[in-house]
Amino acid sequence: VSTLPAIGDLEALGLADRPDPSTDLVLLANDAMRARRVPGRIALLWLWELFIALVVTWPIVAMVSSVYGRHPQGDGPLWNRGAHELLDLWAHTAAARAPIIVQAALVFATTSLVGLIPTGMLLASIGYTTRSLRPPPLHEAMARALAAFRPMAAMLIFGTLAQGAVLGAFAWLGSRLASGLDARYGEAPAEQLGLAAAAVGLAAAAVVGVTLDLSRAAAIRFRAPALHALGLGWRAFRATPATLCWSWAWRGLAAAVPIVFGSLVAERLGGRGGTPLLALTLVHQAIVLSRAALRTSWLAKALRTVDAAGRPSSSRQA
Amino acid sequence: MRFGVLGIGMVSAALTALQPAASPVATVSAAPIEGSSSGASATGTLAPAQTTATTAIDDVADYTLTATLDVTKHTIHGEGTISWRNASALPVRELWVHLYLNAFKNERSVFLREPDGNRGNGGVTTWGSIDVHKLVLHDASGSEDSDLWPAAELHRPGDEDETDARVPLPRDVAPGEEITLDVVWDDQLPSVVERTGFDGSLHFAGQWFPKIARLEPSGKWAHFPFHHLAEFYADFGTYDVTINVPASFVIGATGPVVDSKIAAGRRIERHVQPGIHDYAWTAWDKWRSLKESIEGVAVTVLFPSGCEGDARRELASIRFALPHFRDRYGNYPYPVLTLVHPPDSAGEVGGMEYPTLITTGSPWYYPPGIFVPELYTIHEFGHQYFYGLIATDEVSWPFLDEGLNSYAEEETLAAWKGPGSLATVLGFTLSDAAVQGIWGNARAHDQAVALPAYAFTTGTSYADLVYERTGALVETLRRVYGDETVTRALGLYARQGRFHHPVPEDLLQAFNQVAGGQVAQTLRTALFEKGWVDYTVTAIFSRKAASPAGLFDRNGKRETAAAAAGGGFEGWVLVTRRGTLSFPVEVELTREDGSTERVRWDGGAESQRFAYTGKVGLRSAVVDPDHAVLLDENLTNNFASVPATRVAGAPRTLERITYWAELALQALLP
Repeated sequence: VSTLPAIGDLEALGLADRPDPSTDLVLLANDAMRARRVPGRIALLWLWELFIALVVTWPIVAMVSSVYGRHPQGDGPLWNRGAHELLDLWAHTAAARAPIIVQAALVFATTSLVGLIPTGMLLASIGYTTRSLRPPPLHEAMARALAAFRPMAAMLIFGTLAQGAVLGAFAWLGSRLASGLDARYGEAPAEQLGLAAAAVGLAAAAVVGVTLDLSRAAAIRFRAPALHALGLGWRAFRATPATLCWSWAWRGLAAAVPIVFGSLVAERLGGRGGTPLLALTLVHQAIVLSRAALRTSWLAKALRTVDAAGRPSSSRQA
Repeated sequence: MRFGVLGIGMVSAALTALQPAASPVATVSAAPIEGSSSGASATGTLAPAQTTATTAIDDVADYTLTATLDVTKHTIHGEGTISWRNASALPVRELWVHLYLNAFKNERSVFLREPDGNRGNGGVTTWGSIDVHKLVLHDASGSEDSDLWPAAELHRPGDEDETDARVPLPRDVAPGEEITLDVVWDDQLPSVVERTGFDGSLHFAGQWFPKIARLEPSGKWAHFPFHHLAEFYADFGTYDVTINVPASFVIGATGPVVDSKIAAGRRIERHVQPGIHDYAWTAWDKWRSLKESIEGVAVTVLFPSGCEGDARRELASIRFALPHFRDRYGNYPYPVLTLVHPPDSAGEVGGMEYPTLITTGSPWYYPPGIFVPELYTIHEFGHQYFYGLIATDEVSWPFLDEGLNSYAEEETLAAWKGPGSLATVLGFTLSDAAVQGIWGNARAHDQAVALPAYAFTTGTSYADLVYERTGALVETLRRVYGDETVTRALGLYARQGRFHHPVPEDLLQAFNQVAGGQVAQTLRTALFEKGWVDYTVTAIFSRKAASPAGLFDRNGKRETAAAAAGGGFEGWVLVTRRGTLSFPVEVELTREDGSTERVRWDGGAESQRFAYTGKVGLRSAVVDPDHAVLLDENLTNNFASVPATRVAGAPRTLERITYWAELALQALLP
């Protein structure tokens, strides 16, 4: 115990803010809520995504293995350029496809809800620390996430409906706009204008998503119920909308770049096995990991923002 | 010089003339191509003197027509003269006239009665029709001119279709005799359903004039109602068409412009093109255009605002396709080529072929890696050969144009874009050949390929068998017997069939001549007899070689011999060919140490057992490892491994699908 720094020491270091009364966790100072403090948790997020992906993938792999497992090149031909063997396999496995698709859909649907827990754990890990300046133990982070699960689930439903409504409304608007402008500007320009309107809807849906992330952060940080968390999230967004949107957008763009790179590598390596396959695996998983890190970085930004917006004024001044 | 239908005997003579021939149509040098804006001419301009008649085409039906478009009522008033010659060996006492615009007159037309047309299934919101007012025969024999139309039979008893009219003649027209007919008619264009119609102020006129059916040399009329899946078969001739539209409209039409003027607020263009058998045109006040001279051909792309990217891709496609087709099937003999890229709202106009004018079409938002605009363009351009120049009967033998052209499209795209000839997106490549192979096998047992268009049970069957299976069949021949062989055979057929009306036997004979009887028989079986094939590695066996054990009577004594291990391994592979088609294939044997060896099988027998001996054991075998046989119905049984072989699993699938699932999770999950 004596080796643990006192709260005062943490404050002196500019790291800690105040202890969490319900646990041994210490709330980090606003500026210390950074993704780079929790590389292990980023790795765990990646492993979680990998695990779920494997659950989705495994029936497909088993089916492919049962067919191509005894090919001297294994499933190599399926990934030959031109995709002839892949199409042939698709044509000859119609009966097996339906249950695989249903199972994948169920996994995705379930995970979209259960996935709130790792998100909550990640937020807790970013926002809090132990007295030894380590990320909260997993069970502590889990407890924090489970405590916020109900409001986060409610917000997920609300946010999904809101995003759907916004997208639907703007898609309808874009379609009407395209129809209305068709005679005047021609079909393609009218469709492009309609698409621009729909893109505004996409941006609006992104704003809903940003606010939702801020609200999730608020639910973890302030143990706020859903409505309160949504209010905090919206208040935080309104305070610095441009900064937040940019902060979200650049990470989103940065997360797209490695996908393009990965595609180029995959195209180059084709269906080869052995070392090229290992290399491709490493590249692909590095891409997933980098995207998880960018997501974590964004959640840290969201947490810092709601933390700053939600603190008492005296605390903010401090 | 006049030719009849291509005879089989003509094939051999053409063997010596496989190099691209000089244009049978007298070459006309296109005048400088000018940029166009709204209201300007969209087609290369020629002086009338430049369009000299061909000396190598059997001009049977010449049309000199005038079309006046009313863009408000969407009507065309037409009048003109048709010169028709009896090119058969028998006198005729009747004419058959196709009035294909009546396909859109009511729901009792053959076109609208036929189920599932694959395309063109949208409803007609404005009915279309063609009403002939008179068809006057100028009798050179001195008899009085007579209007034949009052006696015309527009439909058969019990059938309300009015697309195939019989016109009795007052006297016999002798073989070789030419008659001249004056014709006056009015069209009501339908809303765009398929191939023709109007959409707002866009007008596309296909099948818009009374057209005389083709009289076969036997004296039998090849006349058909307008079927949902096929429409083209006619005699060659010279089309001299004057089109009259509002001055603000841009015209795109078959053949070069030989005269153009604006008078009384109307644009009047005269287009003349010999050596063709159909005519189509379009007029719209919103057409934009790109022009380029490619290989001496004045190429014009008409497109709506916002689709310039597509237009440029289409031009690039023609830039590749023109010389490619020239080298394989002979030169493109016409001075102009017009590509019409309709807006999506008139999408059913797209993807059609007419002489020197093709319609393309794809949405403006197709990404560069998806080669749909290129496929459309190359396919429709290919029809300038397989339909246009090689004027087969599309109704009776649709595979001769759509099928062979699908092969030409696939081969050209592959030569241009490589293995990802249909799509190259995010590291995934899809080839046109693969799609043709898979879809071409989907209904191989349902119906034969070589059927009349109306005999196919559904539009999907028609598409899968006529387009995809024929394409896959010829590509299979190319892969199995070599590019040079198939190119020579198809090139022979194309050059001999140019400006003629070949039939399936001509195609078979060309392959017989170039590739041999077995290949021709394979082609016949595949086309006419629902030929199919499925190669499979049925069994594989490998063990350590040992001297034979058992009781042996040697030197007067009975000896018991135990198996004694030898120094190597022995085994065999049993490869089976199911189906009625056979192709020579390779079988790849893989040894335990990973080394491989290929053996060739002529594929003639139903099965073949390949013995193996070697220093290491045999592990696996793959029949047709390069997938030369696109018609192979099932690739998942083309390989086998000895039972002791460790299952390799599916590591690449695991890697790729897992990665994609992770990306999907990151996009979808909170």
